[in-house]
Amino acid sequence: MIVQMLIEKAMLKAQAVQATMLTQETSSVDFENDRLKSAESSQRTQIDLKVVVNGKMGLSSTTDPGDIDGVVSRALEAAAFGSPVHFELPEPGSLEPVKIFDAQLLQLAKPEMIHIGQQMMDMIKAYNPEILAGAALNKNIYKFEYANSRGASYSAEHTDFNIGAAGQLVRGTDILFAGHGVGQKKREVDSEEIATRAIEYFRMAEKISPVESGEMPVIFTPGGLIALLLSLGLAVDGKSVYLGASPLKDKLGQQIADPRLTITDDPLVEFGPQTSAFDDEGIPRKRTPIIE
Amino acid sequence: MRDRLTDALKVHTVEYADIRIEDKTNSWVNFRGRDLDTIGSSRTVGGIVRALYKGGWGYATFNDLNDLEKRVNEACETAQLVGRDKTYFAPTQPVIDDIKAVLGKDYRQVPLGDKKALMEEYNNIILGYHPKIQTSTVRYADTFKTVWYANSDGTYIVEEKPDVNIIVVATGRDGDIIQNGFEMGGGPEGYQSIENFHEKASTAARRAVDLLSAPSVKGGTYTVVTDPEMTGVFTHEAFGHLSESDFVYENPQMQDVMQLGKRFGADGLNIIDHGDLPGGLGTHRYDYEGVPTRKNYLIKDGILVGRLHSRETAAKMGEQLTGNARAVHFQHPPMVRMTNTYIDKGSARLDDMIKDIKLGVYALQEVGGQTAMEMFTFSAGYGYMIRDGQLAELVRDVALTGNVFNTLMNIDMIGDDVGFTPNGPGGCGKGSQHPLRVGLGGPHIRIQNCVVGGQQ
Repeated sequence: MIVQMLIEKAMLKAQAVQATMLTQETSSVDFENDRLKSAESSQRTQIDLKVVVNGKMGLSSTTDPGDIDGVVSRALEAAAFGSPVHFELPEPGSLEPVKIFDAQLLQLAKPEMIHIGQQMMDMIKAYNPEILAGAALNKNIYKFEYANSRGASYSAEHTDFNIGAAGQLVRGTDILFAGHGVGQKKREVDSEEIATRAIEYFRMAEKISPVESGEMPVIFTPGGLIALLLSLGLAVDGKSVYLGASPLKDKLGQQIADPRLTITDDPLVEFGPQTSAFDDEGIPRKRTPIIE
Repeated sequence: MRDRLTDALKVHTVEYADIRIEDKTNSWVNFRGRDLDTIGSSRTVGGIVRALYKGGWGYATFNDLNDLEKRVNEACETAQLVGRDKTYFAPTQPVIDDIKAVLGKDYRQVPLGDKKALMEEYNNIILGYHPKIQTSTVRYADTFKTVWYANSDGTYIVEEKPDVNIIVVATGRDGDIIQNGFEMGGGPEGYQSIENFHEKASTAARRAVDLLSAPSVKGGTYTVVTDPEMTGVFTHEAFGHLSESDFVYENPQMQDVMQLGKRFGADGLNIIDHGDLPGGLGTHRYDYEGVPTRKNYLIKDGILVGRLHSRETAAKMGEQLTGNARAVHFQHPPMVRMTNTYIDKGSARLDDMIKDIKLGVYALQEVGGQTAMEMFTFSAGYGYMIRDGQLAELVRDVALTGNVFNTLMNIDMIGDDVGFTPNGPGGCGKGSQHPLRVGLGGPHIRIQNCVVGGQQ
């Protein structure tokens, strides 16, 4: 294994080493402006190395599995000037079981992806032929390996499936873009429901109403909620809190939102788009309540 | 490499094919607060093959360069699965060229330790500036990329693309109020472009502290004067993207909206996308379809006169090639993108723009924003109220919003002082391709009846 080889080579001069490797194959199809526009096959490799030498950390990466010596020497060079390390790499831990791989996705070939995309696009055109419709499907099969010099070693095979339908409608100088999509780690998906949701957004926009500035209740769709969660994500970033750059510094345990609100970071959701059993630093992942 | 690419292309079975290979090295130094956050370097190698058949594209992207013929075959087979119509693809003269980087001080020869030491100087200036400075971010990155491009027309281009950039951010805190001040810099000319940034670090820290006690701008409709950076982001985001022909070429309704000859602004309003602008952040000699870049007028004296094209969109619309097919890197095919986009200079002085404004806002330093087709919202790093023809108090939370078509018509004064946004870690995003280096700028402009978001 390349990650083990990296650790062996780097440990000749380092006191601690962590290596990760991603290998990925992707297929995608893309419809634009009422027609099938393109399809793609993609192969990707990414290798990352972290070394600790004399208490200082250096990083390096490469996309070339033949560049093992190069990536090791660059990481060692960086460590000579690196940041002091105040932590130890993790020991082997026990991982929560997660559902991240669906063998059915392996069978999904481009002709079928094209068929599904065409069906979603046809539904949007049937609702309103004036909409310029589009659709996209993307399938990733990838393997992520983690190992460190303390003996932690994990490997996980993932499948990803992203599917969406959208359209554009122009009336005068009013330009409306609407659509819906999902990302998940399993094949089973209701593509009709995706197109129906996209149509629903167009239906909601049929009548244009002016909005007056001011304070008023706002209803967010589940997808629109990301606008709020992105800001919260920055505020609960541990590094920002540690540096005092977060408005939530020193707010742990305090009431900061309506008592009915619960927000959880859950990396273990069954076939969730970001689900995995361990993070990129080899830490077993778990559910983290943010607000409850 | 030329033989490898041209030999691989010989196996193609489609109407057109090209290969782009990239080899990139980069290094970075990041401080957050007192601590050096990360330091390191990387190497990225990969490529993309495109194949065009009956109007359908097949792409193959890869890191493994060992079997290019296999990748060409893969792209061709995919294109043949997709293609069902007629191919539109404008012809261009094949070119052979080898473009070398011209660097003043070559950052590849600067030891990583020296880069770290310089960033630490900037970081210490910020952290030592004032007790209300809570923390800092200093991010340095350099990249040296070589791109090999060949197509089935016989074009072969090798281009070296250097880039070095820095951003320094000071974070001030007063109770629950947190404010940032930042400065960016760098460019393709070499390491010297990020040396002597000490004064900029002080400026960022001073602004963060000053903004802590500045009031939020009161929301409303104002006469607004924008600095060259804000003019640039407005020009690029609100108008420029509508000039990218992939939004228009298969959309008859958008073709009506963006009809050449239509008036979009007053006489004297000139908007240009200039792909071979010397020193521009978005400058290339050729785009990623082998088309020479050039200076393209989009609006001339208020009239829409042009738009930006790839070889496909130009052929479909029967218009001239402009050299705007660009991609962020080898994992993406090129799409129609801007290069260096700006409003051309006018004749007004800044003093003259301000002197007859009773109540207005002067918005400075772009910090990003978003467009939803014709609607835009952009935030300024800071601003000043304009009262009775004079610059007045510093204000924060300045966000401009509006409809691009109305806003262009509401520009009533154009300054004589074109400037561009400095280099930095970001760039333009479109679809899944981000960040693409682009130049954006213009002069100070004055906009009537502009909605400014803020507190009530």
